[in-house]
Amino acid sequence: MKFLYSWIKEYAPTTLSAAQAAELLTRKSFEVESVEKIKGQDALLYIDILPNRSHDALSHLGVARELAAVSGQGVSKIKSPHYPFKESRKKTSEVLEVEVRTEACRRYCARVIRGVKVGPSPRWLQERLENLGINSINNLVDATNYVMLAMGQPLHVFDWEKLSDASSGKKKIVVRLAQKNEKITTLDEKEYTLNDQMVVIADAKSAQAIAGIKGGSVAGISAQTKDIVIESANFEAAFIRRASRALNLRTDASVRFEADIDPALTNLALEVVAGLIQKLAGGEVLSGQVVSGHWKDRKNLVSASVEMIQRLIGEEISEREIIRLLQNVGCNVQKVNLEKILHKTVTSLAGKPYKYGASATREAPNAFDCSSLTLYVFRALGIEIPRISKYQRFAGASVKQEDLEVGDLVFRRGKTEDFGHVGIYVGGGKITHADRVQGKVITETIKKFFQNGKLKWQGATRVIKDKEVLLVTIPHWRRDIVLPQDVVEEVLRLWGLDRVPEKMPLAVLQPAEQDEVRLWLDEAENILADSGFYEVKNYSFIGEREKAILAEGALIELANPVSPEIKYLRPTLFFGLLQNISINYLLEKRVALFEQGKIFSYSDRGMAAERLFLSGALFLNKSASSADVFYELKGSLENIMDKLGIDDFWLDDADVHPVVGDVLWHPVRRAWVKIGDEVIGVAGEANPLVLKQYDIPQRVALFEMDFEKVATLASAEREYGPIPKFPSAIRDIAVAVGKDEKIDTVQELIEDVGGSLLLDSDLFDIYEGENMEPGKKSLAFHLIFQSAEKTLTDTEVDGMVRRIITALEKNGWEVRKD
Amino acid sequence: MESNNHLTVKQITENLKNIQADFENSVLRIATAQELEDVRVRFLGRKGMLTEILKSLKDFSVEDKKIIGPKAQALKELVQDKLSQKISEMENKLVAETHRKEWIDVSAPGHRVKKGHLHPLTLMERKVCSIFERMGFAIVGGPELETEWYNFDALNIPKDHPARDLWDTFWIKREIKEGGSKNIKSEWLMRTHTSPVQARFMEKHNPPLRIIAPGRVFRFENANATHEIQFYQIEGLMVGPDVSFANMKAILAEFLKELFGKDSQVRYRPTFFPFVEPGLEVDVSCFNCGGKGCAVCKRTGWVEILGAGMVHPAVFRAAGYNPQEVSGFAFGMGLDRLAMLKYKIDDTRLFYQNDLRFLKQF
Repeated sequence: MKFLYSWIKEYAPTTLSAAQAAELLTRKSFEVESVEKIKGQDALLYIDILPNRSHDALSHLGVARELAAVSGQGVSKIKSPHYPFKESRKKTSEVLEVEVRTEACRRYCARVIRGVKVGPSPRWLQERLENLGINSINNLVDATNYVMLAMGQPLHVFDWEKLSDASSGKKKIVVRLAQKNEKITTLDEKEYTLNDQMVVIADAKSAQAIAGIKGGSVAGISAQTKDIVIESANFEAAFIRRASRALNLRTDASVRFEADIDPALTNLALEVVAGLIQKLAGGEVLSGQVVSGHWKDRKNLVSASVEMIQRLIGEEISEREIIRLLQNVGCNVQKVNLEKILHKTVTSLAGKPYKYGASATREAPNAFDCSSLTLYVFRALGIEIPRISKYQRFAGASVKQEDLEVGDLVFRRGKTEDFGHVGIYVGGGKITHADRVQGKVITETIKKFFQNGKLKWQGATRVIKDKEVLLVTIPHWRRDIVLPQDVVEEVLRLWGLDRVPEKMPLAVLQPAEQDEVRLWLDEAENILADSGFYEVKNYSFIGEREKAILAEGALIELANPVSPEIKYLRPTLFFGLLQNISINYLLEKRVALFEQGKIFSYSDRGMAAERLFLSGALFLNKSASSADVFYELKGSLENIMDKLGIDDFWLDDADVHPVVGDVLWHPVRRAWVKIGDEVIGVAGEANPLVLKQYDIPQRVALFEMDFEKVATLASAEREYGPIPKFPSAIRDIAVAVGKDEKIDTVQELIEDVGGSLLLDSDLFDIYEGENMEPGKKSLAFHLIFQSAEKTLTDTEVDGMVRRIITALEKNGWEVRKD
Repeated sequence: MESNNHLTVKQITENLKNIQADFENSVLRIATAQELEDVRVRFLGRKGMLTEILKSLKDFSVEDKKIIGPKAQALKELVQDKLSQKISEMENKLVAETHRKEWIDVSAPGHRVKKGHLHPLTLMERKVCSIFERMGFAIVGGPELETEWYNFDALNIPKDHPARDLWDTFWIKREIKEGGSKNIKSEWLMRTHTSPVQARFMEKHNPPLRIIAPGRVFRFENANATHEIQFYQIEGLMVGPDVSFANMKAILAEFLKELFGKDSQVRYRPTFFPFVEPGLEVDVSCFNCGGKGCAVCKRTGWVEILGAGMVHPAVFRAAGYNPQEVSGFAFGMGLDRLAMLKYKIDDTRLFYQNDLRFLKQF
């Protein structure tokens, strides 16, 4: 929000320049994004007020208070806006009644002014508004905007004449929930259809404003307006926020109400605006405010021990300093003993009537149920606990019966509920509680509380940690300070964040747990990068085009997509990689890419499931044979498996139909990636039809792996095997087999027959073409024989080779031996 | 043989002198290995001049032998010495010549094994993680598709609270029941920050703990040079019986100095995040200009790096911790932003376009 520095200074007298004030606020309060000098020695401050302070600091008074606090002057030096006015004898309540029918309105205050003269605002007022980007309309509307900018309270003015009369002959304002589909036309002549969770300000007949958001056009101010009703109200923040979102209507008023402004501000701002209007437009201010609504002003107390403040900050800021800083913010600070206050409070409430469901804010201290009593008592101690006994049980540490101390909450099991009843241990073996049977607040022995053991102990909770504390009364405008930690923040930022020395923590020397998946992923990434692959990162989303390619399968869809390209969660990394190849292949001979990332799909039970996948893609601009690209990719896959210590990895091309994206893969050049019997992914070429859609002119080979599965099978453990003592013997053979024969089949046969003395069979050449019978290929193997016990003789080796050859020939394969 | 008999001792002695002169002359003229061999054969070969004389000694009388023998023997040794001296001279020369031919141009480019690269964000993530790992932080992960509870409620960001406006959220479409309103009531979303990992981790582990959680996060917005719909964050959390703001300052200062250099200054400013109290912005002195003011730091001398704060009691309570018994700090930073600052990248969209001309630079 924009702020005028001269206006801030009007409330917080200071000698600081705008730039100095901005620096101070930035370091101690909130970020001043820029300072813009304007004419008249003035400056505009652009301050980023965040949600926690929007309730008090979206106003010049609020920022002035902050400046006074951080500059060390203290808020006691603040000069609040004040326009004295004269009231007539006639009472407002004689002509106007207000009925609040919904809890969503906390307080509604109104005043009536008769005989105003609508006209332009004086120059100074117009200038202030214009500097802050608000159009000057007339003196009445300008006055309400001015007071809102000054104090943060949104205000509204109705034209008296246009409000319909009630049967009593008075004018009547009704604050109620809207009817479903109730319509209203706002000041800017737009029509809105409301729902029954929105609040309206109505007269005796119809809605005249959307509460907390915008006024209606019917009772708006015109040049002819003479008599007016001024509204200063406060609403439950969540109601305004929901309505504002549902109507897609954000206004200066709704933004402030959403932030939960101080209900006590209603009365104060109404007095200021009445005075200002009388000053600007004359008229007779009727006497008194008409006030309605359930809100009761109360003291907000927070207790915090000096020790706790020091411990959380990690620096021994003195008690005196702490008190001084809090006073600067407007707090009243007392050093107290909580036990004493507890006894005093409890004593004062003895005999108050029991009422089930009694509100701790509205009905206390006149009636209580068990948990509203404990809530009320602890509020007097400056400790906020939950409203319901069940949650109160977990508001602190558990205590055993024999360890009870004054102030502990004691829970009794109910007939149906575990935490049916709660009382406060007040010492001397006694408990104070709001008793349903006796119908009042009583103090009795623990034994009686549990009705001589008839009722069960359900635990005790210690909410009070330190007894000697500072009891801090929070100024009513600071609704963000509710917890001791909030008090710590005030102390810390005012004392100086940068003054706190750095202290390395003392911690238990426990080795950090390692995330196995992450470790293996790093290894796999390193291997891929080292073997010529570039890591890419694509969007986690796909769009309509990809959905059309996939054709089937339920995708997880965004409810609020930003574009047709970013609409579904990716079920595969495939598309991103193809997209990347398509933008890179023109400039490169070889495009090798990999990506690791989450993919998303619905599980069988309809839950959203995400898995960590690792995928790679390879494009070769020129290759000797059409299968090169696949085999080069497979080689990289083998490198990964080798590094991960996985040796039973293989590609299985029987019955390959991936769950996701069957259409993405080449109809025959595809295989399951398996480790042992477990499927961990797919490898193959991209379907040529899909490549076409991406304008990729050559084959692309890809793999996709569920890396969480891979990681559970990975193992870095390697065992040393002794270096052989006896020399090995090598024989080479070439086997001519049909083109469709799988190398695996041939090799398995060789190894089976070769037995334990055949150390390895290493395929070193695959040959097709000239000198080969058509439809055949030649596979050349090194056969390596070795014994751990002796040097093998030529005769022994030749015998083994002969057996292998015989076996191969039995299969109809021709063998050539070198 | 006969003729030798006619030679007198004097003549033989004279012959030896001539042979020596002849040899010394010949040696000087030797230039090639062949010439060397010829010289050796001429003097020491089976029919060489010196060999002949030594063979003829047997025909002389004992007295004569005593005179001629040692002289001839001395000459033979001289010839042998000189020849082997010549051989090693010639060999050295040969080696020197060969070496001259072996010269290579070391300034020519090397032959490289073709290598790929990790993504700059991965590099940055590893760098940040390793600094914290050395301080005993464990790396943990969490889901990108999150529930509303972990992303917001468990972090003290209740429904209908304006704090939710700080995160523009991608919601997941759920089946809308017939007659239901069109309002988004979904409870699934794409996580808007890595902070849910805090809540998830604390739910399953007891303090003390030290973790960092790197990961991808999402924001519902229109992408531009400084905002993307997805980016990476690293979240940190330390919880223990007595963890203070002063502790957080020490850990973060250590981290920032490792990342940006020992002379880096750190400053803290108050801000608001619902899951911490107090909440802070952490700035580091501009590593580009050293704090004097430049384009990187927008002339302020400071660069905003982290959001941080002391864990809010409501977050502890949601995780089942008693806020009176533990305290802790949490922090978070954008990896994309760190990488942009470190590598002087001016458009965040480059990270997700995957142009090899970009990726090759890291």
